[in-house]
Amino acid sequence: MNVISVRSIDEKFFRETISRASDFKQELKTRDYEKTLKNCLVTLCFFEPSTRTYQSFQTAAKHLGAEVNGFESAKSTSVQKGETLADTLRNMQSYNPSCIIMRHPAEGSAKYAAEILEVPVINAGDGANQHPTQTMLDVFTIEEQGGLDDKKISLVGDLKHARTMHSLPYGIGLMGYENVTMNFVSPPGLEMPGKIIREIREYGFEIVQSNDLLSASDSDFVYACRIQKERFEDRMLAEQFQEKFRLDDDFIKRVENKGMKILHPLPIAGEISPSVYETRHAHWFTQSGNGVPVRMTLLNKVISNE
Amino acid sequence: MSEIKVNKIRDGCVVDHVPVGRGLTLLHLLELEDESYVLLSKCDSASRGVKDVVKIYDYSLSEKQLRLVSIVAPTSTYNVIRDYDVVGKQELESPPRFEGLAHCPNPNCVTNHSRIGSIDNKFVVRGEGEEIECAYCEKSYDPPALEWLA
Repeated sequence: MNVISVRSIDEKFFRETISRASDFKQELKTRDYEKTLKNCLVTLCFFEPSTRTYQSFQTAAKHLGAEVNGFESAKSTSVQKGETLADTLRNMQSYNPSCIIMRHPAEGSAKYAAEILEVPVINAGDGANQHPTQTMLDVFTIEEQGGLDDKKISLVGDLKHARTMHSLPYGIGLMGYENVTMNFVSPPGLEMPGKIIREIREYGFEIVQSNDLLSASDSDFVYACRIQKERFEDRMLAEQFQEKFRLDDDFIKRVENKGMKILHPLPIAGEISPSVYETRHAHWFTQSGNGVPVRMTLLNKVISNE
Repeated sequence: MSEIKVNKIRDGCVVDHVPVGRGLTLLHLLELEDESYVLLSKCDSASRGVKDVVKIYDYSLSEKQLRLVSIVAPTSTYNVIRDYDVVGKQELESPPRFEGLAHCPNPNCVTNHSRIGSIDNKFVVRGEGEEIECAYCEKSYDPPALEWLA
């Protein structure tokens, strides 16, 4: 059982993970959970740095009683000496892990790892392609706030490049919510790729696209991400876009839905004003914390099929 | 528009019912060198409205070339002509996936990274060949945009 891409995850597996994660979240509060992965080894192969995902997986594994090994950066590995990705992974597999969790800058690298290895592989991010466990925790966060039946979610920011934005609609689709309005809000030129819009139409969403941030003011959820300034030749233009699409006091004053939750995959790099952190809408740290119960559930399912 | 008359070929092959616009792509991919050929673009088609047609004189497509045609022009028909008669006809179907015929153009695809190990290019054909998706990086391309291997 590999977890590589949200586009190929089994629907039943996805929903079971979301459902079971809420049990783990409750059990974490009272430390009343079973260490089901004693005598298991979880290997983290992070070829590029990631604070949250690495720590979250490590925490999840340790809560379940597993041993953890691996590396946080390629700098500490024989990749520096020219070793191939295949050889590095096969070497880590030789220490008999129960699963390998991998982050690598090359798109498709997790799929490749799953092909050449005999142990389960969980994709913790492959370049700009997929980050399926982020999608799982995002959807879990939405589900624990009541789900999306008859509701509206706005995805705001650089929808062209952000992989979390590309994956989330598929994750929402896998939950089978009904009557969902999905509002894609972005600066001109950074719209959601047409291929994704074509594919997610099969989930029956009402899909709206806008270049106006205020179109998100009546949403039940706003999922924001940064403008990827490093992709702009004209940095002034990037700054203007960030200014125009920043969630700030002015946006909060115009929010029509008092129960709106604002989500963000982190890190926040200026697209949300500090004053918004103190509002009832700020939900991104709860969202981030949900990574632990979700990843505990996933490790359990992948390693011991529970 | 005045009619254009194209004579039947005596010996060779005809790829008929090519989706409009794909005829030129086909010719490019087939890498014909000394062969004579005719490309008819946007012809009337009783069954499909409009089509492209490729006629190649004194030539038969190889297995590899037929695979390419089935991917790039999945709705086409391959006809073998001998002495003005159609002696063989094959309706081509796009395979759902294929390996090794092309490179993924995405520079950040794992198939284009150095120091990976042994890896073959693999693709998934979407719809009726409108898009070809790299099985690794999941990016989609129009068939002409792929880096087809010689």
